[in-house]
Amino acid sequence: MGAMVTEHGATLVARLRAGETSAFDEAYDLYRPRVFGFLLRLTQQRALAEDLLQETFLRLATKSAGLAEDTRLQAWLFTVARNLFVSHRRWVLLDLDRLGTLRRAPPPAPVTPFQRSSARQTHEALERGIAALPVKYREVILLVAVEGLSPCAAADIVNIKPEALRQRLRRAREMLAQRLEPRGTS
Amino acid sequence: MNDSDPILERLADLPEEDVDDWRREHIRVRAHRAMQRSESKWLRIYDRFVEPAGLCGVSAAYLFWAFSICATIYGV
Repeated sequence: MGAMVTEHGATLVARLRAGETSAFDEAYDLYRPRVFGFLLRLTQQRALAEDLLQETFLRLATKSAGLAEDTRLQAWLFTVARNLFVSHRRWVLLDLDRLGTLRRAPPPAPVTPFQRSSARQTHEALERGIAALPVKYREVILLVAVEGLSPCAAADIVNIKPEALRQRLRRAREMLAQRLEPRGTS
Repeated sequence: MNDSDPILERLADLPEEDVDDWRREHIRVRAHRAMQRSESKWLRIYDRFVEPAGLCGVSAAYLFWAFSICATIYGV
């Protein structure tokens, strides 16, 4: 199965390099929900996640001809999406008007449209737990536990060593468990 | 990694999220247009050099005009 996916991924990259819009559509339909879910949970803002998703896939469209033959499309898309989020965050931090707001602890609102969309209570508790994690832990747990990427692939995306990623993941898991315990979901 | 951890297992079951239909098609159309533009050599040259140079020229002319008006008004 893994080999099939890799083979399909390689074919998709080759078609993208050739400028086939149908290849873009295929990649877009395949990875859009995953990239969007990652961005939505990372940013906690639907409008921002939509903007970053658009920018991610526009990058794919404009850079498709220059992709390396051995590009792993999924990892490439997550890397671009994550880098765009980091750039956005850096820009927001430079905005002094917002600095005071960001310094306060980011308590997720009890009920947001994002949380309301989650049908089950367990999912809501998990979403709230993820939202309350600091960004560096949140991105790691989203990539590995939610998106199912291998720790090595996630480490490449986050640009840290796999050992450091494992430590971060362990810490994120502990923090999440602590947040879930009072609600009796762990 | 997720095999023995109930919390990480539950995270893998979180529901999928997606953008609405309008947004989905809007991004697709923009991306197709971007792909077609990046295929054409002349459009690439236009995007990379001609358009920025033109915009710079217009902006510089506008700034020059604004400064000259200010200089006239304040008699500098």
